[in-house]
Amino acid sequence: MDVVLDIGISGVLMGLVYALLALGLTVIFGIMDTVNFAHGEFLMLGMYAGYLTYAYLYPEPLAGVPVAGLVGMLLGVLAYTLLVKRLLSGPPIAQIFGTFGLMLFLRYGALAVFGPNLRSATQGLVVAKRLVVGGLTLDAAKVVAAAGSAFLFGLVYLMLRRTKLGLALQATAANREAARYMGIDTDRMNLIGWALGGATAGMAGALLVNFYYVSPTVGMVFSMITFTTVALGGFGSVPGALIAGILVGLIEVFTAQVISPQLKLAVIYTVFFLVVLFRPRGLLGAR
Amino acid sequence: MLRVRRWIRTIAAVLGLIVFVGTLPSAAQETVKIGVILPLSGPLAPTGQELRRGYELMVDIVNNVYPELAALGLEVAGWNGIPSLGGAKIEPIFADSRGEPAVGADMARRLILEQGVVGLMGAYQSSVTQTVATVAERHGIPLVNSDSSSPTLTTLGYEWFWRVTPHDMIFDDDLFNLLDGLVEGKAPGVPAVPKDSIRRLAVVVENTEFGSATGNDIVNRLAPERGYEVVEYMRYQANSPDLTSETARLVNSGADVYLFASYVSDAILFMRTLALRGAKPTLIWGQNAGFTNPDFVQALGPALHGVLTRSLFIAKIGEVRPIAAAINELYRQRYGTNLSEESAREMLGVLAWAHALNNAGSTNPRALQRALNELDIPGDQLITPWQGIKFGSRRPGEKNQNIYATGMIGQYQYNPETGGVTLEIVYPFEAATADMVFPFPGWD
Amino acid sequence: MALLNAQGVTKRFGGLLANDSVDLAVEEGQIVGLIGPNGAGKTTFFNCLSGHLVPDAGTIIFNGRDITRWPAHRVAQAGIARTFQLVKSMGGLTVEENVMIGAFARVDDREEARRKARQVLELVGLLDVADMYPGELPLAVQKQMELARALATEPKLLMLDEVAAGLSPEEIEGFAGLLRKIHREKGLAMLVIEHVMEFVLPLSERVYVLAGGRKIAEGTPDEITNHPAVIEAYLGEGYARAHKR
Repeated sequence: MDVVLDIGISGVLMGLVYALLALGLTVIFGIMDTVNFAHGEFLMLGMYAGYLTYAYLYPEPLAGVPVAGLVGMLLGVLAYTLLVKRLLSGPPIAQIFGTFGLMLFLRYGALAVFGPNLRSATQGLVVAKRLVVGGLTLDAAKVVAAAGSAFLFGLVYLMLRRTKLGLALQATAANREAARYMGIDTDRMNLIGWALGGATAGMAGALLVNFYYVSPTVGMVFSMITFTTVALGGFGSVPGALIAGILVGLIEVFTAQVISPQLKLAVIYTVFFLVVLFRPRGLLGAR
Repeated sequence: MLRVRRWIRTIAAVLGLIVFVGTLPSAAQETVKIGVILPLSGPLAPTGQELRRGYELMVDIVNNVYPELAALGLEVAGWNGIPSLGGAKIEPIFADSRGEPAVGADMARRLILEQGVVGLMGAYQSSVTQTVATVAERHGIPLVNSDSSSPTLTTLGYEWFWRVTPHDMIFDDDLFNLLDGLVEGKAPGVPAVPKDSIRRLAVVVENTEFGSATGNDIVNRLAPERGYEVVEYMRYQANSPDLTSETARLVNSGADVYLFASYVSDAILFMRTLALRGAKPTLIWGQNAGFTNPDFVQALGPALHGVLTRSLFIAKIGEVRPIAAAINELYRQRYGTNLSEESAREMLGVLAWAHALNNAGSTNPRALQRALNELDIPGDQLITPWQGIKFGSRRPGEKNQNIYATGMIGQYQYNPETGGVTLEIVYPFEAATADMVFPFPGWD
Repeated sequence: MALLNAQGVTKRFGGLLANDSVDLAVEEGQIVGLIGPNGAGKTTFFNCLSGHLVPDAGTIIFNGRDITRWPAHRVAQAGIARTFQLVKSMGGLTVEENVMIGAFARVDDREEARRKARQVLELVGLLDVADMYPGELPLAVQKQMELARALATEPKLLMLDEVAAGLSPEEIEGFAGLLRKIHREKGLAMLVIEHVMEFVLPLSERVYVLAGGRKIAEGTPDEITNHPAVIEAYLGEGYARAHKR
């Protein structure tokens, strides 16, 4: 029983982190039906932004979160204005190749600039700290990352439901053409979507720095699981990403515990496959 | 389609030309050409460069006179070329395998047919070495390997393949020699420990070739042979974003000893998560790879105090082997870093070649084959704590393996006064540079 | 000066001349009909007016400003609202939220937008379905919602694209009544593209006829019904077909 609770909680914590990774991807997809294959690389650059802030400016990884958010936002804006916007007039495949190319460019660009080394934060408020709650030992860094994820989800959800901008974003997502005739500048909504997606990926990256290593290829580690989370929750669905993230986290830990650690990703992909087979729009997908 | 083919042909021709020009001899003098096949481009390029430095320095020592090394008893340092060949210089000719078996074989053919090399070295990845060995075998040209560790290579019955360095099963033997040594009271600074404090093993390996080979050898061969109990055999995915549940499983197994075969990222995650859980095994050992990576040390620092890792070469050996210290110093002056496992490997390979050439007194392949078969270099000529280099068989079906080759096991030790973490040698026991920390002190 | 004045609007798609120098004007508060057989270029012309397409030649002056090359969202902000032949509702948003999005074109405050949305919903008689989702409602109601959404942007000109398509005669009658009511209360100018003549002719003060991408006639509904070119090109057959529905 203790074991179940123990790993159940760690599954939920990690699941919230996956949900945060999926958030930016699902927002961008929801608004403009574009899959950003470079999302993992946005995360990676967010991690570098967080790590470099920690290493050279202020020795606390949490201080890197706002910096990484800004870097991610800038990255999203640049990616949209310099690349994606130009691809919109082409066939959908152009966008796929475009963001795929961006992924390779960012990954190998980071390799050239930062070198292949793994870097890690070794000190900080929550780095390698235990949090004992009612007899359970938790990783403080993961608790903070999960809390950050929950907070950002709440923020994005409220923004989407309660503000003029949020409603405009949703209108764009629901029907781009109609939105345009309601006076909504849908091109600007795309830009805001990319900025938002980049910012959340960046902040997620900086939160990961508290307990994860940073390397030019770290985006690869998280990409598959992020795409699976988004598809599982329903492309474009914000609450779907949250629920799917937690689900993926739980499947992961319980498979490793009950069946075998080497099958955990296989089980996640099987669940994903079944969901796609019987419910192609995902758990909470709108379309 | 036709255009694509023309392009491919053009590109292939250009690449071929580059490789050909790159491998042309630098000067037409009396030299002994040894072809060296390494992964000099592709993902393993940094490792390839490290390996290359080892070759170059040792070739330099053989080809010239280094009085300070000669004074320490290193014979080749006083040779000024191969004495029995009238002072002929060794000329290494590098070829890039790009880390691909087919390319490696092709390079071997070219080195033999176009360059007329008398011998070969390389090719780092065991899969590439194997295809190169096939080419060497067909042409009857000796291949002396010092950088591949797949046990299979010396069991294929090759007549033209010799391995200077230990293979993975020898490394695994080393681990159990250390465990047995603890029980027998042989470990430096540790009184004999009851076997029950280290009997229960957890074997945690990443689930590709590297980890599985180590895991299976320990679980199926060594643990039963030496009387240890494997309570958890866990194969995990190295690219997992999270290893929390794996760690929980490991801790819950109640094992005394944790044995890892991991790459660097997963090694870091495991150590961090274990530390957070306050795991307290009596011993933690890692099979090289991630556990010797500088990034691993940087990420964990003092938290590594007491963790063991196997390695072929640990620079600290200089404290007990003056020749190793002097060569390390030379290496530092030239390249700015300590000798690494990779560069040390290649120095041993060149050393074996130098002695074989000198003993043969000829570059005739048959003469070289005989010289290698009969090679017997004493341990005092080496930078490793081995009895020497002598090829033979240590187990049934094995051939042309250096019977004296062993690995080293190092222990990370934190020095609170300097704030630094050093890798001290604790095995082989006679080459120990510090007392072993046992049991593992935990992370509290 | 006319509220909307389009002159020489020309649009080509490859070799096809969809609009060939079309002129059209709408006065403040006027209801104008735009009719023509299928493929006459009505929708292309509509798309040019609303900023979805940029004409190859010609000028569009609205409310004293040249909006020829403006993107759709600016045209909307300038005061042209439209509905669609096929309803474009925003799934995942309630009827009220749909209409609020229209209202946000004029106000920034959420509560004010909601208040305006409810006013418009009351005008078109949809207040009781405000919290439902468009997908749950019958087509006629969805079209009313779309009308409400367009009205919420407080347009000076409302453009209706085949609003009667797919509706029963009773529903068409109801819709015509609704448009008259709106016109009466708001004095709004309207441009109505339509196939269903019974719907558009009684409603319009002035009618333009397109055929083959060109304007072949304009005038009062009476003049149009008696115009020989129109009868020849379109009306006889079209009117007859419309009667059969």
